[in-house]
Amino acid sequence: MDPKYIRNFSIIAHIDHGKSTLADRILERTGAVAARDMQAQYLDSMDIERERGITIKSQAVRLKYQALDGHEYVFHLIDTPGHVDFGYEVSRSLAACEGALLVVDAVQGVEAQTLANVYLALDANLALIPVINKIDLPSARPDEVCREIEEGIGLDTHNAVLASGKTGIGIEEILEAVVRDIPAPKGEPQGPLRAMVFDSQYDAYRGVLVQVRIFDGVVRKGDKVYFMETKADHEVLEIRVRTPKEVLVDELSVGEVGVLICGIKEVRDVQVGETITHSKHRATVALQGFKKVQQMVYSGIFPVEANEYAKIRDAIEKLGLNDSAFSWEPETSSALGFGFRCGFLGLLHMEVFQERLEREFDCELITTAPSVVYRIIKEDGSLLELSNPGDLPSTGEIREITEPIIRATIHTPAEYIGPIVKLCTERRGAQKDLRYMSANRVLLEYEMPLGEIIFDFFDKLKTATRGYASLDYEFLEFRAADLVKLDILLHSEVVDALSVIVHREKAYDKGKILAERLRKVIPRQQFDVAIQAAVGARIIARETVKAMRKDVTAKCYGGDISRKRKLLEKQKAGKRRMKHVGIVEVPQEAFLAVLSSDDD
Amino acid sequence: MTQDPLAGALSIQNQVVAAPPAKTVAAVYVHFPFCRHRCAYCDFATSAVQRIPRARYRELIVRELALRTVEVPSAPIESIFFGGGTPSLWGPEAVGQVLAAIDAWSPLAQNCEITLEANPGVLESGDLRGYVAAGINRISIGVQALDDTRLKALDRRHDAAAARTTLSELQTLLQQGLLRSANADLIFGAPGQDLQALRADVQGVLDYGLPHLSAYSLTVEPQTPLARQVARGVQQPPDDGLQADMLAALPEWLAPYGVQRYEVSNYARPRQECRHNLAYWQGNYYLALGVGAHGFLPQAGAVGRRYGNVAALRPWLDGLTAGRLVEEFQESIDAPSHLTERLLTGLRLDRGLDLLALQNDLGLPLVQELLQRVQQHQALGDHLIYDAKYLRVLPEDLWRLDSVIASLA
Repeated sequence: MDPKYIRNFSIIAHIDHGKSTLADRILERTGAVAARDMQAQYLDSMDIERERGITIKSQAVRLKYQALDGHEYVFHLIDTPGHVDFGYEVSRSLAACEGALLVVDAVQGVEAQTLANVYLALDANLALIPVINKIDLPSARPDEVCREIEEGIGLDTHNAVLASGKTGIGIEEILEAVVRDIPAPKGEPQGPLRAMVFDSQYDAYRGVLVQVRIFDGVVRKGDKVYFMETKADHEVLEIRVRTPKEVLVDELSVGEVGVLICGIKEVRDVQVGETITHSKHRATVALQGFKKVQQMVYSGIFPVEANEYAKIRDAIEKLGLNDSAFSWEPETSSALGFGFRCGFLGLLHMEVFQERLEREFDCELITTAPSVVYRIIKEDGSLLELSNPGDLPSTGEIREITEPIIRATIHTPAEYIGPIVKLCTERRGAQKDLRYMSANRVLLEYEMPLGEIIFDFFDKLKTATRGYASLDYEFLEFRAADLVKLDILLHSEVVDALSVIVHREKAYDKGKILAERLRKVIPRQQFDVAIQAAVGARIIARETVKAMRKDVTAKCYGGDISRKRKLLEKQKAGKRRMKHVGIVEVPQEAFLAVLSSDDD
Repeated sequence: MTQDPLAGALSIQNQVVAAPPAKTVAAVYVHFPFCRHRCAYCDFATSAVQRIPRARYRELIVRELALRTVEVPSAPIESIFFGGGTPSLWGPEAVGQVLAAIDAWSPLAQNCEITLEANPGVLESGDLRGYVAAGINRISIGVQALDDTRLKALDRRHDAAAARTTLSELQTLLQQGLLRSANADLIFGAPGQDLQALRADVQGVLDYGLPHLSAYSLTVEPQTPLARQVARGVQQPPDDGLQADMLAALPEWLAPYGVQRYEVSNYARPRQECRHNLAYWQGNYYLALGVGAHGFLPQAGAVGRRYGNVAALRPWLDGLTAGRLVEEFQESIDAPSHLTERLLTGLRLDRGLDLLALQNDLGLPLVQELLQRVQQHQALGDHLIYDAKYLRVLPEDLWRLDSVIASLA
């Protein structure tokens, strides 16, 4: 295929700015999907993607477009994951393109993710076509939004298209702009093969589906290929393109996008961003930009009822098959029994994963408070990566604890600056920038510990700004901090699943809040239950659940029997779900107590 | 006390000689849902209305009796209980007609116990004699307390003087042999009542020579005005420690009157136990009539069937007027459910759960399993004992009976 008539592009947008609907219209207009087969957000295949309005997996479709210049073009539309946690995947998908549609909501204007995505796109040298979407809304303000894009982002908007994914306005103009403004792919058709993996998916029948973009050379069915990062040879058994119906093809050449099926069993055996070349005529240099994914947030996942362990392990394995960014290993907690320590790219990744476990596999879970990874330099000079607060060595063994620091970018209407500054300061944030994007839109930049935002920062930010602020963040570095482990003791026994690592100055408040919250959820037992919060050997907060002194129903007559029996049966079911810490019965809500917001 | 559960069960088996008797319905409960006033702690099916439709309610009760007893095996009726609400507002004539209807369905046994609940505040002088003439032979009176401040705090509309008047009438009726038995209800452990105050109430009541006393710890039932008051902080919740102390002290105070505990909240002289309530606690069938009444009747293929009439007045009235029963719930009781119910009720009795009856109803294996669980509990130090006839919880564990039952069920 002549690369001259190929256009590879992606759509980037802040969440809810209408990316998927716009993609739907483009699919319809190019005849890839007949209107009658159309279901909303066609490219988002998972329920959870449709419901949350986010894209988790990248999808690439091949579309044919008859342009006004009389030529037929092949478009590869690469739909990127839509969230900050998947920033690296986004960057790889963008690297497979020459251009992108920058979709901005005509009402909302520029938001944090718009900016983050633009930076990623500019890093990848993409040509950008601004699309002002939702212009059919009465409150649309396209001129202002264009100005925000020009002033705030520094992007020329002379070629901006006014569109509505809902009504179809502007779709034609967008497609023409793609032909006109996005460069054709370049590469060495005769050179050694270099194909970049920008995503992979697991298919129960065919193994791993490797999504690639060809930069140089040609890959043919039956070729022996070499994966340069995983250092493994495979045979190309099949090549497919999605239109979006899957079609078998014999080869892919420069600029083309498609799916290789090589009989690979696990997504873990393919790294997103790596380069595929021929086994015999290897390229000497891999394509730029490969990074190994790093899990930033960890959480323990335990069955509510111990006999569901095997079921949850199976479910985690199945979900893990299709998620190379997820990691897990068995974990044992004295309070929660056997479970799993799971690593995620970020908070959303974690939430989506847990939700899928619960929903698609019907698992009942207790998840422990998320923790970031701490790097600990021990007195003997060795380095420890700690993902479970319970495993923190004793203070005597520690020379220094470092924690991950992020750069947070917050976009907000100016009136909310006060509450945001207060919130970020409380979370140990250091302000790096405060810039007016337009008369009343402000960009704030903070450096803050990732550990401070993984609990409830998003919720707090939303509340403080009535949902008007948007947040994006990227990892910066590990920095030393005065951190301590806060333990919770019940009846003098440490509850490992409740330990958290906190800044020393916050330990007292956090301990007090946790102890109070636990007092409210731990039922009275037949003895006093002491709840203590401790740092090392020092008790910093104490609460008591007073012993129950009378537990006998006063009246049980003819009309009470059914009700009492049902109550008893419910109690029994509840008791099976109780966890035991020593002799104390602890309901599962107690383990969620650390998760809820600080001032409930 | 038998230590080996299998030996215990074996001795049970040895004692079973005859085939289990066919179980019949020998107890009838009639609910009268009307009150002059609804008390703050009450969670019964009651409505406080201006004009009570006495005749119509009586007519529909008789209709329900006819509908419900179509296929119910009749036996001489051993007990009838008019509860409420305030059934003493119904009038002797209506009560007498209901009794006649029951008798027409299934003859009342010679010594049938027929109880009427009454409230001191709404009884006129001479009322009780009217009810006795109509066939009532046991009166249960809602004294609750003999102290005006506490009666007011309990949201009751009568005062101590009214209670004493009624108690004294009961005493006369008992002395004249017109009543077989009489009971007074007391509520204890409300904020402000100490041990001495309860003792004064108990003695004050029993000084009238009553052979039966029900003493209930004040319980905050969900969805009552009291529960809302406690939630709002306007009312103190009862002190469960003090209530436990009261529960433990009561038998001692009652002993001089020859009155003993036979159920968690019930005390009587020997052979003066409430036969009707024992039917509940022994797992017997009972027919129930009226708004919100709950019954337990034989059912083919199951241990029995429990049903609950709709608790709202209007749908019950409309349903029966149209010749229809309106049940709010019904369920077949299988063996495991029945076992749970038997533990829930039987272990409340001082004498304990009747293992022979249980074996008759459910068969030996379930009883053996139960006794194995009991042995595990004994090993854990729970105060449970059993012999060939009864399984019971010792008085020192009465304060935590619910959790003992929960762990056995």
